[in-house]
Amino acid sequence: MKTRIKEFRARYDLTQDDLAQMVGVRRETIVFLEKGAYNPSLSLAVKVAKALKATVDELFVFEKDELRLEKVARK
Amino acid sequence: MQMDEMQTKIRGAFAIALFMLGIAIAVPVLGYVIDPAIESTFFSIASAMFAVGIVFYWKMKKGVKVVRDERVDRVARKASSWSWWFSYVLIALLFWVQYLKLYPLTVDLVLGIMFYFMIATYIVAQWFINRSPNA
Repeated sequence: MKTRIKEFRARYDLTQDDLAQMVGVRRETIVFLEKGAYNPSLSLAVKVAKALKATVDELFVFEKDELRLEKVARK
Repeated sequence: MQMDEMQTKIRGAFAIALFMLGIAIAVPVLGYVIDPAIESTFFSIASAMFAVGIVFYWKMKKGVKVVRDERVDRVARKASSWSWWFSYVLIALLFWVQYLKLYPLTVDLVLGIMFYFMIATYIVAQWFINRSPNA
């Protein structure tokens, strides 16, 4: 999973600490999120997206193989 | 006052109270000595609470606004699960040690081993999971 949180954060001139406070998590969690090293809960993903005025799809980018969307579509 | 700050203060006060109780119990009252096992239990509980209180207070002072979030909870849950599993394996091993009479085990020894083993495995698991991706 890749994220564009850092890019969006820079757009609004927010620090990791600012974003962490806005969504009510620890700064470390934002660090892990930006690295793509943490799968957030749906509610946290939505909160981060709202804080950065983006959609979840825009912020969290999955590789095709990771989600196996073809299988989901077939069923 | 923020909820986290209030929780930290309550926890800190409780930790200090428990620590003082541990010390009070350790001191023989009116020449009557309480069972050392009870003293050490209170001391262990009080020390653990005190340590947790200090860590939380230090984090608040350092400016950490949120002490717990979903990632911290997830790491804690996984660490508990790993610790439980390792403890289960250790109990099974101790059973065979006793059954095959490889080493003379006593109840005190087994309880002591389990007490420290569960704490140690939880701390190690927490550290390991915390640094791994997608904890």
